[in-house]
Amino acid sequence: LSDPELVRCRGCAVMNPPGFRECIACGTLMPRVEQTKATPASTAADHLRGLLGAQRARGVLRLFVGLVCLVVAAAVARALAVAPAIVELVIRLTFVLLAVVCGLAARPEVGALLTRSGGWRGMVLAVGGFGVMVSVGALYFRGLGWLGFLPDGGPDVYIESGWPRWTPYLLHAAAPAVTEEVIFRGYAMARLDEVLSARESLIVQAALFALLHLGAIIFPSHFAMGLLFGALRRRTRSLYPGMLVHAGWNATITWAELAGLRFP
Amino acid sequence: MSGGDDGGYERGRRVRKASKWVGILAILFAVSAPILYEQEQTKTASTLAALNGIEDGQVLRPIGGRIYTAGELRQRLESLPRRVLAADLILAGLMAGLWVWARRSPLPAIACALAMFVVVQVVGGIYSPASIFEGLLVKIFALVALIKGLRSALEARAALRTPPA
Repeated sequence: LSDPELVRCRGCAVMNPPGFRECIACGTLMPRVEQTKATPASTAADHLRGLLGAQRARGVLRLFVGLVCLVVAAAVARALAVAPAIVELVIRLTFVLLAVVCGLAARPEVGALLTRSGGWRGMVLAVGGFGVMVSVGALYFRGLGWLGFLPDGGPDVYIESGWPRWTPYLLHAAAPAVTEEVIFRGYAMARLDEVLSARESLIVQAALFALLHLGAIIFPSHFAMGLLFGALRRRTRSLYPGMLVHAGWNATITWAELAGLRFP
Repeated sequence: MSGGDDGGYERGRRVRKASKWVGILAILFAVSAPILYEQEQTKTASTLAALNGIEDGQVLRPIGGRIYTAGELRQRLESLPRRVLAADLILAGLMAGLWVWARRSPLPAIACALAMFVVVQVVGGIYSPASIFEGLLVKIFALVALIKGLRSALEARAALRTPPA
């Protein structure tokens, strides 16, 4: 194992002879010899950190299973003819509960992200991110509308149930922005960082965020949003810029849908 | 050559198998797209025929808790086959992308593929419970291979930090 000429595969950790294009065990592409950086030798502390990280990363799996169960429960409630506004409210409250649990489970990481405001740089990035999102999002959703893919309801379920006009802004715009940022960019990203590289964890949390919005057609747009919010969190080391952009986007959609506009 | 890492080889085999299943799923989604499109077109045609005599503005009985007018429902039904086709093609594209990524970074790619597969099955099961049992054997094989691959790739990441013997 200590032979310096052997190269360790990143996919399965098997040692490979130098010059092999693919790993002999799993077929993962090996980095070229001249590209491999000299990494410091692993220590026993690294090993323990790795084991602990893998253990903690299972929390993301539990979170995913929990959210899938919530989706199933919501579908069952709809099938039982529970009022859509009540179903939506229960989903939002469950998200608040999940955000609190996630925040407590990763207190040091999430706490650090919540104590930093992001500063002026964060605000500038948030405004820029919002501008990009509205422009690209409007084009994307207009394209979907042009193809005949109509959005599936949303904020109007509260109005249809006779709730005040501010409830969609609270429950459909502000609450998801805060809870989803804590859950995905706070908890999930911190846990994934323990087993994946920074780029990998950014992509995986964005993929989970997009997947749990349940729509193949909106996957590309929500994946891009997840990447943007994740990048904001990395750049500013704060959750607030992401929350602002997220809430701004949700509020724009809520306003557009309530006003009966075809934007986005 | 491998430093006598027999467990590593077994791990590698599982990771390779899971990566292959990501590719197989991409092909299956791509192949099933036109078939499902045809099926949906046949189904919606009969429902649209039932709506023929109803005025566009007439309010229908709630469907899944939502109230539609006949016009809205007609519009939705007309776009349904295209939605199904687009969704399947997007999923095929995503799986193909994950398969390519799995050649470089198996752990995150397999994790994303597994999550996507589970969500697709759950959502499909919600909309059409009978679909859970369609191709059940293939679904079980895919699920088992992806779970084993994910576990092995996770073990490999932990082993990457193991100090040299």
